[in-house]
Amino acid sequence: MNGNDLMDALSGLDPKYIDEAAFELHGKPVKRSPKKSKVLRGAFIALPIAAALLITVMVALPALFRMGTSSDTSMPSDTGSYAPASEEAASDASASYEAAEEPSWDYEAAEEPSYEEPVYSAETEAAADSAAEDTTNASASAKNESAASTETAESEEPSETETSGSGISAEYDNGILTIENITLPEDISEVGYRIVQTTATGTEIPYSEGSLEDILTETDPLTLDISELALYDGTYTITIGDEIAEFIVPE
Amino acid sequence: MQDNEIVDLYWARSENAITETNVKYGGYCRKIAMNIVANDEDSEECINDTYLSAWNTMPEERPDLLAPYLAAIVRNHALTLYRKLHSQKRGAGQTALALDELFEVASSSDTEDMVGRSLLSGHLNRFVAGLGTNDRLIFVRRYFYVDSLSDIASELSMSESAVKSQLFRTRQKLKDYLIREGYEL
Repeated sequence: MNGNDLMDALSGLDPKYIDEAAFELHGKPVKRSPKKSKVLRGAFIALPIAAALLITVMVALPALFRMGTSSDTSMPSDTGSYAPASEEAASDASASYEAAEEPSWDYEAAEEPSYEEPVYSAETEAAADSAAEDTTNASASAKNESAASTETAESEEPSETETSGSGISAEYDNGILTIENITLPEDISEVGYRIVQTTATGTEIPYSEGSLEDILTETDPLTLDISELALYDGTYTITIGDEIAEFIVPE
Repeated sequence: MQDNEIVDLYWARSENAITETNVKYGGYCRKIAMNIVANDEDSEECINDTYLSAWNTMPEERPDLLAPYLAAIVRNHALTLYRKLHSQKRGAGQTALALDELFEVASSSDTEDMVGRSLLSGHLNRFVAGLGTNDRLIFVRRYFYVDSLSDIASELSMSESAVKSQLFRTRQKLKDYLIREGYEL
């Protein structure tokens, strides 16, 4: 028996299976699209970031307003907005809290303490100094990192030595894991893999490990059959050799 | 028009049977033929042969589902024409690729006779019945309808590599199944 026999015998397939797959007649099956999965995955990642930003803003804004707000009760809070009512105030309203040397529009008394007085400005200067120092340190470390990355780039090798494996990516689809941007040695018989689940609390739970050959179906792109692992929905990382990629199993 | 009404036209030997068949299933049959022979002229020849076969087999046959019945006929005609035109050559084209993939499952020089193929059809039906819905759809679209991998991926909203991997696994399962059933591959 050979492929021709199989091809011919398939003409005797049960009509219900032929009809089931007749998309031309019944339309395409409804399935969650990869785009929708990607949208869900993006939301899964973006929502915590957005929540963190919102919390930061909610904490930082009151502090900023306290620095620039006067003690006068006729401040815009009466009007329900921070927009000044007069034309003079309107021109001043565009000034930043830190830059204003003159008091804000609703009080002129120099003897009244301004939030730009040295008491606060010292603090802001100190904060600015520490921020500048941090920026300097960050730029210095960034320069060191860029020098290091330049050296590795000159060797014209992909970032195999980076333990973070930022170059490779993994996409999970119905039991199949596709790995992009990974370079494998010619002899992969000694290349291992390890799959770890990362819980919401950050705990890592080892799930599976073994020889890459056991789950390999294609080498270009690298395609792994992990359907037998029956992964639950969640976030996982796969380590192949020295490279790591994260993937999400949708619900 | 419903399938049973079209079949009644065949049984009544009405010429409208062909017209109604063409209206309802002409595009469907043409798609199957084109997938296999990849040529407008040849696919039209297959369609005409299909209608003639349908006319010759009904009455006697009264299929419950007309679409799969016509699909099997047009597929057979298209495969016959393909083999006549291409002999044993393998080349580009979905039919050649699909045949190559099935030859990965079974490549013995011994071929099945009519009885053997009928038995093989039964085994294939039992195998396909045991597949999950998604695997079955991919398998049938690839090897019955001879769809391309990209078309299947588009129809099922999957990536092409996922379709390819699933087909690979299904072929391995089919091979194991046929060996268990006593076939020499």
